[in-house]
Amino acid sequence: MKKDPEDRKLLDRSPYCGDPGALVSYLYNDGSPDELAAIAAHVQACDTCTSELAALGDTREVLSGWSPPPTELGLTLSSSDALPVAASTITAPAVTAAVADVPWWRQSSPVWMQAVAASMVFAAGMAIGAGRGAAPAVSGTAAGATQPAAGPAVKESGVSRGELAELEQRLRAEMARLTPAAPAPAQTAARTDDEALMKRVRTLLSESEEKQRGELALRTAQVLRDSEIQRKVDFATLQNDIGKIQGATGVELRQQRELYNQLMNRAGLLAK
Amino acid sequence: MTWTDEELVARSRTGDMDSFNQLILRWERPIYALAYRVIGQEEDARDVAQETFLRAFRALPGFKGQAKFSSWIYRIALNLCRDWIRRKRRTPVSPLPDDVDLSELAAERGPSESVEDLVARRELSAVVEEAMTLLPEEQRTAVILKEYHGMTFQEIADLQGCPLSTVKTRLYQGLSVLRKHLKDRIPSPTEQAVRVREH
Repeated sequence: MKKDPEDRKLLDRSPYCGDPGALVSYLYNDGSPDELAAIAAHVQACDTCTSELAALGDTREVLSGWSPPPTELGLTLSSSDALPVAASTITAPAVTAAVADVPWWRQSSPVWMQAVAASMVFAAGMAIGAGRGAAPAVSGTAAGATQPAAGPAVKESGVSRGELAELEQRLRAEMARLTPAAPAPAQTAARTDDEALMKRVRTLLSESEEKQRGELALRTAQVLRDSEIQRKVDFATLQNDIGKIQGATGVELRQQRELYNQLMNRAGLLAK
Repeated sequence: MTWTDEELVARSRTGDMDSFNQLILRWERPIYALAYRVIGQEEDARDVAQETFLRAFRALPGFKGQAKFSSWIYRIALNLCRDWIRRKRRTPVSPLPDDVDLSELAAERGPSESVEDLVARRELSAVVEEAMTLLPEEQRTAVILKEYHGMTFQEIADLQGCPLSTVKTRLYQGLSVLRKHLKDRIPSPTEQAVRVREH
């Protein structure tokens, strides 16, 4: 039973009347207890809100009948899923297919592989150089006069470990000689010798660095040249293969044309 | 022993794959249902569900438990659904079945459900699905989260990144559109009850 028109007028002025937020809160029973109680009090006295809520409730009931199609999910993850996608799996299929026809020893290696190979060659070269320690000692003047140069010429002015060891021995001998108490003039002379030796050490070190840089540049250039040659060879092979395929297709086409002409001629003769 | 979501998340973060797969088992149905209702395509919904868990797994180290695991995973799924909709640049439309395959229906039918009930349910689903496509994405998502996932207004507001009042308005507007559309196609439960009484 609804209240009399006077009361209804008052209630209709309720801030909840027709307020979508209030209706939805009441519909879903989602709000503070005080707010819900106030809305309920209004709804009980308001026909409009009551019918609106009934209609929305009916809609909700219809909506409840919507269910997704049943499906077997069974989703699982493995520890490998945590890893980012491997670069190899991103390779374009067309490129992979083209490379697959080329024998492995003729396939060009990736850049990183070439860089690793260059590093290994360089390291091996250094090891061989180190093992070759019996190189003749270079006099201070001669070594100082030698200018570092890129390429194979660097080897001539290079410093081996043997030379450094020899230098160390000389330094030790010099130090041992200077260790006993010596008169002041001798100390001055020794200091001069020390400076000369340090200068010599610095020179040798810089030569060694230059040599390493030169060898690295040489190896890098070799790797780049090799990869360029390989690329050209592959390209030429590919072009050759494409030419063969095109030639074969042309021959087939010509044969088919000839056959077609023959058939047409025969058909024409038969018709006559 | 049943672990809570938080416990399973903590174990997963230490690299325990089984724990994460338990989380998947627990949440794959709701996430699939959400994706299906939002985008309306079964296969794509399955893909979205799979991708949701994959992303969650990869992002697990960054998940510090500020939110519930369920809220977090719902957010990921909704973002993926949004991406899907943008990518497809179309309103999700589920084609209504032209013919009904009875053998398919029999397999789908629940243990206590007659074929007639099942057909009616499918028809009802199709009509609701069609009506849902009329709603803008925000309204549809709000209705789905409230109606089928029982979220509070506040949770929906957090997920949609909008004020609580906006969620309520979206729900009201969405329900109003659905009501108008469904009115002509399906007799409301109140009308059905009246008809039964008249007979």
